[in-house]
This record gives sequence, structure tokens and C-alpha cells, in this order.
Amino acid sequence: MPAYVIEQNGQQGSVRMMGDLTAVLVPELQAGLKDLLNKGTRELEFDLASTAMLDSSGMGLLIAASNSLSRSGGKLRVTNVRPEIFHLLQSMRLTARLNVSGPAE
Amino acid sequence: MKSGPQTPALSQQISSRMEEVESLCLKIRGFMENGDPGLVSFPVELLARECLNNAVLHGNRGDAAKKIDFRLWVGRVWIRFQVSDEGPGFDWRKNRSAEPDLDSTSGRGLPLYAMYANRVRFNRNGNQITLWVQKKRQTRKEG
Repeated sequence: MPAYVIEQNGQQGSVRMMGDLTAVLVPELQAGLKDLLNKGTRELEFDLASTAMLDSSGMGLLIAASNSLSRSGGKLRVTNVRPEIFHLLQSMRLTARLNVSGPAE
Repeated sequence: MKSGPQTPALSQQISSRMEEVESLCLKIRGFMENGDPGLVSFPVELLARECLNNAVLHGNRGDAAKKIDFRLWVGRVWIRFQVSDEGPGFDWRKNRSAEPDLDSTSGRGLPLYAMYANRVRFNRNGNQITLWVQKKRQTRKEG
């Protein structure tokens, strides 16, 4: 099973994580995100429905993606976040910054 | 806060490679999730990851020949774990209260220690860290 699935449709892009978003994956994901942005993605969704752990390197990746998108007038959304990760992002004051939403009701 | 039992419940030495950190962290998760119900999996795994990542990247500076030691003890009240690297250490006295701004892509490891650990202790050289996390309180069964 892949660690993540990246899709693009015009200016809409998505990264669906199939597991954790941690330091070991960050270099590889950085390259994939750079490619997405170079191909014109302006609205990017990061789906964390299957993510049980997010470390500070993963947070750094999300912030870097958000910074890059902001510079080109785009926006990042982080969706389907589990309660423990939501609490973590809230504690780091990043929920508004990263447009974080919890799992769908 | 007592230092707890002397025999670690989990102990492992790894090389300074992120793949080995990942593998050890999954082992820690398995241990925490399958252990007694007082164990708190998310904070311990998160803190262990931050310590191990720092040991690889900043302590041993990515030198795969250098080792990292991980030890975890489970006491009656506390979970205590320790990460040691072979690097020269860092000046934790200067860095421990630093908090990054919202656009910063790094610098969140130390604030996470303060947020999720009940106690953090560095050795004098700054190449060994020990953290304590309180276990969940157990409800005593009636009857």
C-alpha cells in the first residue's frame, strides 16, 4: 500500500495520507508537493483520515505547503483530522493557520 | 517524582537513520497500546519521536555510524523514557523556552516537550534527555 496518494485536477490538488505523517516521509512528500505546485495547484487538501500520528516535521511540511500556496494566492486545507491530532494542532495555534477540520459527522 | 524501576520495559539501540526511528516508534506504539490501560500512547509516542528525530538530525547530525539509545520504564504512576545520542550535545539552557512563529517550518520539538511531558531533564552535556509522562488514572472496581 502506498504511504500517500497525490491527485490533481486543474487548480485543485489533494494528498490523501494512508498512514502517519512523520519525519521519515517528509523529504519524499516535499518533492511531490513541489511538483503539484509547479503544475499549477492553488487549492490543496491534505486528508488525514488515516493518520494516527503527526510529528513536528509533518507539521513543518504542512506549514511549508501553506506558505507556498499563500504566496501564489492559493490555500491549504487539512481535513478529517482525528481528535488527538486536532488537539495537538490547536495547542500549537495552527488550526486556523492550516484551515484544519475534524472528521465528517 | 521517583525515578521508577531500574529494569526498562522497552530498550533498544538504533543507528542514526530515520527509517530506524520510524520502526522503533511503531514498536513503542505497539507496546503502549497493548500494555496496561493506564498507558498513554499518543503523548509518549509523539515525545519519543521528537527526541529520536532530534538525536538523529541534531545530536548525531545524520551520521548513521553513530548510535542512539532508547529506554522506557513503566512505574505505578509515571512512564519515563530516555534518549541518548553520541553527539556533542546542545545548550538546552538557552533553547528550552523558544517558541516559533506561526509561519516557521521548524522549532516545534522543544515546545512539544513542555506541552506533553510532566517533567523534562537533560544531562549536563545536552546529549541525553529524560521525560516523564503521567499514566492515566485507573478507576477502582466496586465490590
